[in-house]
Amino acid sequence: MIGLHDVTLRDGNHALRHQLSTEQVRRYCDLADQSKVDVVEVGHGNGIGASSYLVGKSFETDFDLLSQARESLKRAKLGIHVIPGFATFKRDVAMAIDCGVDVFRVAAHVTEADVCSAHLERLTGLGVFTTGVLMMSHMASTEVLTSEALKLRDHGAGGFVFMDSAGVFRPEDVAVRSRSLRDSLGPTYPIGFHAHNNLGYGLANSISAISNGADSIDASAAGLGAGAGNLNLELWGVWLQDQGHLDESESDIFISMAELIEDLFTPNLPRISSQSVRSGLAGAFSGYSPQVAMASQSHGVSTQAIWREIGARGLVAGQESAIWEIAQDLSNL
Amino acid sequence: MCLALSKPTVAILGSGNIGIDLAERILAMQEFSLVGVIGRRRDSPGLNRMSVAGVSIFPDGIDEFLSSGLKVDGFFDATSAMDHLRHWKKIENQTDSWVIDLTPSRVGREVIPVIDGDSISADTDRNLNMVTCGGQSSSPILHAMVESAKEILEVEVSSSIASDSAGPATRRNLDNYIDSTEATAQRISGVPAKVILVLNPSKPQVMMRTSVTVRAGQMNLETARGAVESMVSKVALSVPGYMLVLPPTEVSAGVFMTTVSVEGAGYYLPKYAGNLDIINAAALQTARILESVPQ
Repeated sequence: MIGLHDVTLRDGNHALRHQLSTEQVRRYCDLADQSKVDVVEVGHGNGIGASSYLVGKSFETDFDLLSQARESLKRAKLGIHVIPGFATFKRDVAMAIDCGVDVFRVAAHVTEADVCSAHLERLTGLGVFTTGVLMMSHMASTEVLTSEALKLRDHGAGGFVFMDSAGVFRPEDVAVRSRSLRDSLGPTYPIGFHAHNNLGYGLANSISAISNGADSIDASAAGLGAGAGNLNLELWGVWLQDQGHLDESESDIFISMAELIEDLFTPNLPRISSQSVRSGLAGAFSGYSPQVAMASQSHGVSTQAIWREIGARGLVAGQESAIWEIAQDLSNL
Repeated sequence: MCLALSKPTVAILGSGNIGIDLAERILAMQEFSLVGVIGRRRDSPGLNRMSVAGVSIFPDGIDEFLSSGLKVDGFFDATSAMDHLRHWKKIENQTDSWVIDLTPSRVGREVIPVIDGDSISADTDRNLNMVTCGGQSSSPILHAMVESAKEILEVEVSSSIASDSAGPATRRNLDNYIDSTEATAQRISGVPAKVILVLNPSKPQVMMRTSVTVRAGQMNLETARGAVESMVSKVALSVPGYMLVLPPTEVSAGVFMTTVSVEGAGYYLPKYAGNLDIINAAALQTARILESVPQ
């Protein structure tokens, strides 16, 4: 069985500049609960506790969003994304536990797995289900990705997900990594892949992951997510149906979920644009798009130059403030 | 007058990267007499380095030092938060020395020398804590922003540091770093603060950058820029690598951001480790204040 992790209400919050409301959570969760998604992930785009000027302020608190989702989801599990360095256990993770979250994804930049250790160990000690996540995984070799994944497992993570946060990978990149992870993590360990569409490879990459050892996929209704968006849930449904994993009515609910998202968020729907291709080629974090647009306008420098410089300086997720510095430097040239 | 005899005496607890960098700084500056470096392992590379440099070493820990009969005006503790609790009990009960704590133990009063200098006194302060690298780098510019604003509504501090400069203790528990830095930012601004830390593994290693963002009822940008610039020059007297890279800028209505970068002086630690450099510089500056060393 192929796992399906719905990130519409978390990664999608990037596309909404973190303005997701409890009413929207309610409407989406009611529908998602009738679908075949296993987990519905909810919260700020950079995970719970990340609401900030640096990466964007949330319209509603994580507590309110999670409480609403908890009320609406009867069948599907409720998940969160948490990045140590943004969130603390005492302030944010403890709140999520109180809200009745089922799946805790603890995430770090691809080379920094050990910053997850304290959160993973405490969560594992409480007996809840945890997944270790490595973001911006294109910024490390397959060997490093694999050894960092093993560290997460050793800290207690019950599963693993690697994210193509900048939408850089081609199907063969995902294949090599999926095989290496499966070989090292063992035949039964849950392994997931999280795609972004910046270069248009979301679907092809997800198929590649599943064909080479991954057993779970992240998807988002209407692709709602950072940059050019995530793998479209409704497209994944078509593929699952083609493969005989879903029947037509099951696949159709995903299309209805995408319809709802399109109705709710018409102006915010992500698309593959010149900007997303530039950010994908630069290997820059997809979530940077709003700040790049703002800094470009305020300093009168091209977005292209900013994207290229972000790539050249090797910025990782969470360095939004450096975009302003880059725009300033470029305008002083 | 014999200057050599009048130097205040100090000892360093901890022979890791931070302790040895601090030792080499003290040896280079010649304001203090370094009586000893206290470690825990006879085969510690840091202790060997000190021994070669002619510094007395105490590989069996603080008890060995205390039973040696040597007395010092003060200790620097560059071990760990847990070890500091143990060290402080002994220093408090068995000596008259002060201790400057570079661990995130939060036992002593948390001070930023450029801001709290006037309130530091050897008579009342026997245990002073150096907060965190983010606290030392952000507090001066936060203080300058707060002074230039009418009403501070929100405060945020975000730092990015080179992965290679974050030791295992920091990496294991970023929550301690956040708690301690938030407490100091709140003390300076009077409002709850949000702190973010990002580790960047890029090679060549990135310089530490700290951004302070405030939402204010009213702020004169010209005043704020002047205040931040003058504060940066003040800090740069003891941390030469402390540089303003983004002067206060209105990033959205009523929200102002300013960014500094911190390059290390490169004693024992590499130059990119500005985060470790600034905490050592702050510790030494605090010691100068405690011992009234002319500056």
